[in-house]
Amino acid sequence: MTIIYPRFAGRAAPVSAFCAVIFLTAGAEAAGPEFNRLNACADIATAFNTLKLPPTRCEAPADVIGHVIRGASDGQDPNVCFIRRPPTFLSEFNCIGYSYRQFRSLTCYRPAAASTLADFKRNYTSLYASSIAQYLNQASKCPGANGDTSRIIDTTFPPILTPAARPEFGFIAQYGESKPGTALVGHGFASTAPTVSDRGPQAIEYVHFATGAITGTTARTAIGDWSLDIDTASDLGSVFMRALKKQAGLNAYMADVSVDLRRAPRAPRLSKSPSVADSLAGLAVSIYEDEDFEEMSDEDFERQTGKSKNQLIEQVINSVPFGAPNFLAGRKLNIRLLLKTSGVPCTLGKRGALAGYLLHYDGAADVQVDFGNISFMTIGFGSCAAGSGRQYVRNLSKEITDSLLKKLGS
Amino acid sequence: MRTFEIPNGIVIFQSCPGGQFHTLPDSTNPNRIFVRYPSQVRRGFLAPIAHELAHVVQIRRAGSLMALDPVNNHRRIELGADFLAGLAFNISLPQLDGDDFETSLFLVGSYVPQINDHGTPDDRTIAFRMGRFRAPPYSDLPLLESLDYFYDNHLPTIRRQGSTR
Repeated sequence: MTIIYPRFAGRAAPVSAFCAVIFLTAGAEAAGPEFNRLNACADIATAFNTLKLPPTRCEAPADVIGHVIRGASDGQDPNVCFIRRPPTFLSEFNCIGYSYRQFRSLTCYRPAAASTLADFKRNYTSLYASSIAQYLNQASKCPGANGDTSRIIDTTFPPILTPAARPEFGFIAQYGESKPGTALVGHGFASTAPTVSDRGPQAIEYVHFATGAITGTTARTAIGDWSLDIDTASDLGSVFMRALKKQAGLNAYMADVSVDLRRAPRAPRLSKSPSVADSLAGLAVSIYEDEDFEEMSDEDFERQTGKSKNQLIEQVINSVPFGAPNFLAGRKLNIRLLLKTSGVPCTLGKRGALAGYLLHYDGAADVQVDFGNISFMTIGFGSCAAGSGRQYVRNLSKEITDSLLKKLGS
Repeated sequence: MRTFEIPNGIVIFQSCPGGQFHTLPDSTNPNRIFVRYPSQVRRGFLAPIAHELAHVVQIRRAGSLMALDPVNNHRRIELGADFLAGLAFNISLPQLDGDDFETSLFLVGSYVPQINDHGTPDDRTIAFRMGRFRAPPYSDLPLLESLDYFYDNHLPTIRRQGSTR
């Protein structure tokens, strides 16, 4: 507590016990977790050298966590490698390598006791804060570190682990000559998803090394009073596509646009009712309809997709990894589907079809500038997933994007 | 003080033996605010002082401590002060890396919910680093507008994250 309340009109001044900051003795060597990874400078150098080498030999996942991670990518992601021989200093861990373009990571984990995590949290202030400060200080001094150490939060939790676990606490040290750095080391503890804890550990300890950055696909665009994040390969889109492919097993080509609707910082306040996302969805639907797409009724939707809208929404929500931030945060996801089965060459002889999926949700009520999101996926199936069908999908997606932006700017 | 746009003469620093860092209005002078610090502290005082001066900004912004309604807005006030401390590091102390704040034992959060708590250690880190790195739109906003934007837009998301653990 840092504000001491003076007496107000005879009310007694509450004085917080928090002021009594305790000078601590390190307690990590008791039943609690050990903090000895981010300050193991030589081991870190070895791990970064390992990341420079071509992918090592991969093997099948060795445990339930590996199986859950493998299952999340439908067993098909060629960039994921369950490593046969982890570096010696991580011999008690299972390790997963990941590479995508210039990004490389090595993520290793081993079971931890849930009681260890609980003990740390319960006694953090009295037992661990001091040793953590020391730990981070040592970590910031390793050769190559850029001096910035911090805590692992949702957005810095290793993405590869999110199907199996979610962060509880952890620490991170950045490497490189710049700030933010070009590489990082993380060490933390996470609780496991029910799909893991039903058959395996309730918690894990993990160590994570990463170099290079995954280039984002989001562009921030200012339009009138709006500051929009436009993503042409959104997480929501890929989650949706994964759910769709899993369900239908169809050959498909998708142009995916997701627009995060945020007011510019100094824009006049705008009521959240009526919903801006709803209104934009209506505009997108009208453009699809101008192209002779037909919106599916709830009954047709179920007949076409094999699921009701609510079931599909549930599937999309369930496809979000256990440990990933919940983008909906209690908001309702709306879904609309339009189909076009004739009128372009790729649909001749029923060899292909086109679909427009619209997903949208409103802004969080307690976040002033947040007006939600609209995502639309224009998809070519069968013959429409190739050649002129692809071109049609891209052109239509661009036309809708331009129209939505024009409406927001007007 | 300049970073926080606090005019001279408003803040009275007081060293208290065995005391703690805290901020309180002078009950005899509405234009004066005490920032007290423990006299035994020889180093690592920059981060907690930045945090306390942020409370001065908040009190002045609200008009009084009462107007801040600390009983009902405790976490909002504390995380707001962490955010402003981060801004101070960005604006006036860029040569420091912010670890002074994040590892300060004077600014330890708690994972155990308690009355008048300051947020979890993770919440405090997020709030501080939002100010520390001053990414858009904060890079385009002056101090007080930044604080308002933080309250209206980022604080709710921090509290949501914290509430899940």
